[in-house]
Amino acid sequence: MMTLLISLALMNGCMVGLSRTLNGRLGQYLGPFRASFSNHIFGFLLLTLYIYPTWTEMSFDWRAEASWPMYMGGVFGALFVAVNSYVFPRLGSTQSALLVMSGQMLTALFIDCVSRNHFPSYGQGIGMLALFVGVAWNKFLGQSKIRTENTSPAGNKSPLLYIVSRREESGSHE
Amino acid sequence: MRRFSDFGFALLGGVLLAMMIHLNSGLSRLSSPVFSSWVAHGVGSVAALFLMTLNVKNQGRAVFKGNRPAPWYFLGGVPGVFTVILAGLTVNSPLQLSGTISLMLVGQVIFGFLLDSTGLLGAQRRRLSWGDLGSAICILVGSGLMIFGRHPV
Repeated sequence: MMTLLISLALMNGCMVGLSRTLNGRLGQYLGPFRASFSNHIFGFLLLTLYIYPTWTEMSFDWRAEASWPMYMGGVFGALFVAVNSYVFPRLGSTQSALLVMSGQMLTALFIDCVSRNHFPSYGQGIGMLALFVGVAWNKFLGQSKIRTENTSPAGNKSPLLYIVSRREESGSHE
Repeated sequence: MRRFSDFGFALLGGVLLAMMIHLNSGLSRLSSPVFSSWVAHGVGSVAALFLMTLNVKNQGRAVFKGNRPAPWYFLGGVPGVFTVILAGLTVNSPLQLSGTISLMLVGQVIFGFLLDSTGLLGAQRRRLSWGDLGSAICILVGSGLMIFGRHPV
């Protein structure tokens, strides 16, 4: 059971990566803002289908309970997808994932400490230090060299998606 | 050395993501993760539509301008939705929130390595240096310490 849960959570991380990859790829064609819109509208439609059957059972009085900033998460989400789609093809998937993760962890810790009014624990302090070392290392020494100049719209030549890229190739002309 | 703008934008992305999760988790606690994600996607659509109307220089900064993207590139939102649903399963299990987040971070990095080394999904193939691996380990260990070293609630 535990193995299943662990693989499920790991796979979920891959889902995050997949989502960002597709958005980054779309951003290369349409620009980051349109990629962000596409990401959100398709997600919205899919979630609508998912929650529609249980809509009437939902006992959530949105006027009484939630304050308006809670609804503004989506605004940051739209900006995030745009920014991520912009950097993703430039830095590559590993580096953009690592840097986004660092920014996210540090901000989350900051929010956590401010809202609960305490300082980070010793463990968190050491964690922050390790994170800073990793980010600085990444900034000054990291250099994931591009192995193949693979910037054509046809893009990848991997066997798995060869057919897809072939079709793309025939549809476009440089 | 990396270009500072790319580097900075990637970190800024993380800041935005944490802000989104912070705001959205409030709604999630009052309703459900799926409902709050639905709201976030709806509001996000409107916000992105507004961003599209802005006359920003980068709007048209598309590398492959004039070429049609493959249809499945539009489906980035679909795995995003699965993320919410899958996370709902694992958070309410012995893994809890901290275990789920840590494993998701590891999964993201593994997926990144996979994509960079194989060039799947049209990604550029990149040769990863030992420095990349070292910084990845530092960042993952640091994140792990920050997640598991929390003050007890």
